[in-house]
Amino acid sequence: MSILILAETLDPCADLMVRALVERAVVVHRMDTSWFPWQVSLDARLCDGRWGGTLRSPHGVTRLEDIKSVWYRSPAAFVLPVELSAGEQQHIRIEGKFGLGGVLLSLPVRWVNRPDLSATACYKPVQLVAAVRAGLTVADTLITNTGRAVHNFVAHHARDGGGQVVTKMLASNSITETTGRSVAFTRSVGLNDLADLTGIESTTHLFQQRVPKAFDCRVVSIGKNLFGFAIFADSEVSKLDFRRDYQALRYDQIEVPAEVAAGITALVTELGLLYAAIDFVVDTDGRWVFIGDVNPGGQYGWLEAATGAPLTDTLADLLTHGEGNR
Amino acid sequence: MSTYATKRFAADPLVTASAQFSLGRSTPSGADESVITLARPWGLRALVPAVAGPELPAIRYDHVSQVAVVDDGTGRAFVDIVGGPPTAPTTASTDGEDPPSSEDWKNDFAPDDPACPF
Repeated sequence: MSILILAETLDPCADLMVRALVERAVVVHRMDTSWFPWQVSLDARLCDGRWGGTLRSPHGVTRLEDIKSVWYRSPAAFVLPVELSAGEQQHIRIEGKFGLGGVLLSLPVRWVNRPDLSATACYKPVQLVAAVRAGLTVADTLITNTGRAVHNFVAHHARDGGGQVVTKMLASNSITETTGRSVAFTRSVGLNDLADLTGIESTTHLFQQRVPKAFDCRVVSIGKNLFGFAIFADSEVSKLDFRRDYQALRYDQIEVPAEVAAGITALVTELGLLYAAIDFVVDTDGRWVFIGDVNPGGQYGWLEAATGAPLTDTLADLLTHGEGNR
Repeated sequence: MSTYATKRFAADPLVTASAQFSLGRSTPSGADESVITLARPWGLRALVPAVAGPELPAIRYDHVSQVAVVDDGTGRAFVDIVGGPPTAPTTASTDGEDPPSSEDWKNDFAPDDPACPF
């Protein structure tokens, strides 16, 4: 029995996982997909209804039949030499994805998480309706590329005394342009912002009611285990988006209320995720409000370091002994 | 709070987010294309420069131990100097991301990142 870790080479969480699994006397084979085809080779043959053969890297050789679990941490894309034409590179990527990826995805193993399920789960609109079905309290949300809808949404929440709306990205928080790499954090939107909405029509934008926040909470879901972490922000910018100022944050491991835990379990079950980091806002009345963030590859290392919660060990147990989907 | 990454799926080695909502290859659409103009997306108005992460020591990946090690001849594991409880001072050092690094979403999933360098 062996466990395959697909992760980038510079990833201390993966380093700690290797240690945890080795301590459990489990055979671990870690590799990065960016090594294919340079340092990784596949030799698979369809036999008796499944793929058998070998996966080889500089660390060694793993028989496909021996793989029990795959931790799909955050492997990198194939890296190809610039000497190849764009067409050749595209050909190698597509053939590699369908060949290497296809064989791995077809193995009867436990994936944490299956990349295709993670890909689907990444869509906020999918998450939000799944959260409603799961019984979670969900923030009022608008996705639009029309200015009129933005006007109506912001005005509605102004009339309700909610006062403010926030906007955040649906997918990618950063953009690289000639000026360098920039980041879009969650920001508030008020009536004053409605005067000029030029560019709303250029793509879809997400707007959400601003929940009166007591604190942020990230719940790390690992198999059947939930770990709740309160994130207290001590600066104005981090109160709106905690990523703005990590130095201003404090953490506490907290209990997840039973009804919220049931909702999270239903949510990740529907999405098919054995691991997820799920973000909530806990409002001033103590309500846990889901704001549309299920992260199938969400970070947990800094929370483990800050609180001592046994996240690596729980993940290692899941990979080694846990139950769950293929 | 979104923590989606900037590099997942756009060139994901196994799947693509776009495959969840498949689109055909774009082709020039002819006459209409010449009159279409699009403003810079409104959502890009409040961008802030990405913050560079902490400077990391020279590191190499050790295929035997399967962890990153400090490339100073000592063989020390990278995680022992930057991560793990309880000494890690920042998210960035705990999660050991490539600079710019204090961005929690670096390793998270994000579909169809237009800035993906791959």
